[in-house]
Amino acid sequence: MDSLTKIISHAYKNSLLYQQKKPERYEESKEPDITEFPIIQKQDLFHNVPAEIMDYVMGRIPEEEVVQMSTSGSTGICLPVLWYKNDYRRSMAPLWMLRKKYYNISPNDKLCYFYTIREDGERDPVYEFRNQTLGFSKCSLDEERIYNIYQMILDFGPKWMLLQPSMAELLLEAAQKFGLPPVKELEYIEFSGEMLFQELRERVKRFFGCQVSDQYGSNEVNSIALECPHGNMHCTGSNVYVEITDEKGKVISDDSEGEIIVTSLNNRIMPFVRYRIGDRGRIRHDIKCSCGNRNPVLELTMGRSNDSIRTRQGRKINPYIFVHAVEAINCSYDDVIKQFQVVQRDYNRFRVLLRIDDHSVKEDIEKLFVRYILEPELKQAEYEFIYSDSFINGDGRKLRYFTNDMERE
Amino acid sequence: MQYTYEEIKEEIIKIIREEIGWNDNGCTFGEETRLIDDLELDSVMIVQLIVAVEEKFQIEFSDSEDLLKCLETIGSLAEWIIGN
Repeated sequence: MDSLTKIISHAYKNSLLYQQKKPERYEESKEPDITEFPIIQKQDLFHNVPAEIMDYVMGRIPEEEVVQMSTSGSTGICLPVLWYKNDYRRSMAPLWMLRKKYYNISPNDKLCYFYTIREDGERDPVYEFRNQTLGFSKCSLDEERIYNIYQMILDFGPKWMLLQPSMAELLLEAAQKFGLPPVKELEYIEFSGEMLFQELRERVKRFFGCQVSDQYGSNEVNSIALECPHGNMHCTGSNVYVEITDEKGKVISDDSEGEIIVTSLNNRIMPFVRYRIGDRGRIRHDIKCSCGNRNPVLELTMGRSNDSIRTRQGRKINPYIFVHAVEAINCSYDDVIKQFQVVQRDYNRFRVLLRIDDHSVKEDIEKLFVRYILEPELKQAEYEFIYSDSFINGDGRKLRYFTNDMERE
Repeated sequence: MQYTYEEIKEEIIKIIREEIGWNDNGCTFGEETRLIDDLELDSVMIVQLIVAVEEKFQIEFSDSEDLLKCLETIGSLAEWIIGN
């Protein structure tokens, strides 16, 4: 039985959510046609808390067997994700193999990275030094802290870094502002978590003088695709099965842009079968890449791009700064923000829609939200906070954590 | 050089014990021994194993449907090496 058939069979046998959505014609004994299975999205998991999570919370699944994470806030919804520890290791194996092959990076090479919420959900330490890795919390990232972080990176001398593009921007700004040198030991930077624009990629390569690649993944399924040295983002075929569909869920032809649907081939405790990840892209199955990898090549298009923030001076700012602010608040207040959306009404006016589970801390949330916006110009803007107890709908299908409504007004 | 299945299996076990430094406390490894589920090889060890096997047997792993299948047990890895 191939991996895809196996995971479909497992999901539809063991998971309550999938049992409720089983196609009428599904027969376990036959090889399934994946396109006959429904597409699942985050809202489905949000409304129907997976039984596996309840089992874990109730202590029916031993803690030592499980890795717990959260999805990022970049789709506007924060959701717990579970993995069996061994499935998690299995899932990471292809990514490590490719990092070694393409960039000569091993798991015990010195690494710097940034994190938001730790697996155990407890309050983040500000720094985390473990074996050969040095991690930095994204909480309370002001200018002084970024300067200190950069100095610590210089002292530590990592061989590689795992960065979100917005973190790279902050490090580059700090280096420029304070005249800090590049990290001489650095050989590789892997970007993930946000859309990587070519301009930033070039600046990073120029300043740090190292190889750069883009990795696309999520806590739900781990690595979806990794860019090879020839610039092709190959799907990690032994970890996920990737499809591109139209808005109605129909698989579309190669090279057409559509919604990215992923199936994890390795997450058994909390299966993700035909899961709409919230991003858009196109896929090509026919590329004969010089790296030798024959897996399909994925290209992100809108990605998690949600419009840009626009300033009066004509600058475009990555709206991920709002995700950072929410993540930082959730660090300090135990995931109080369940859902959010920011709407730019004017250059200096923003509406912040929030669904929270503790209304006694509203004032703190509002103060911290502005405090954690690292862009000085946006700190001075006017923010209108609106709280809703019902699910905040976006444009009917895909929740966007940021929209720019300026042209519509 | 052509290896037999048994020779490959022994070589894999040797790599796990000596190159990766996995301390088996005298346990017996067999072809059914699962690399991740029984030996709990972590990411470092998996990469070390892949690199050592590639070097020893002059083959190359690829990120294909077969990758995790062949890394399932000592036996499945040995079979994959023979087949490649």
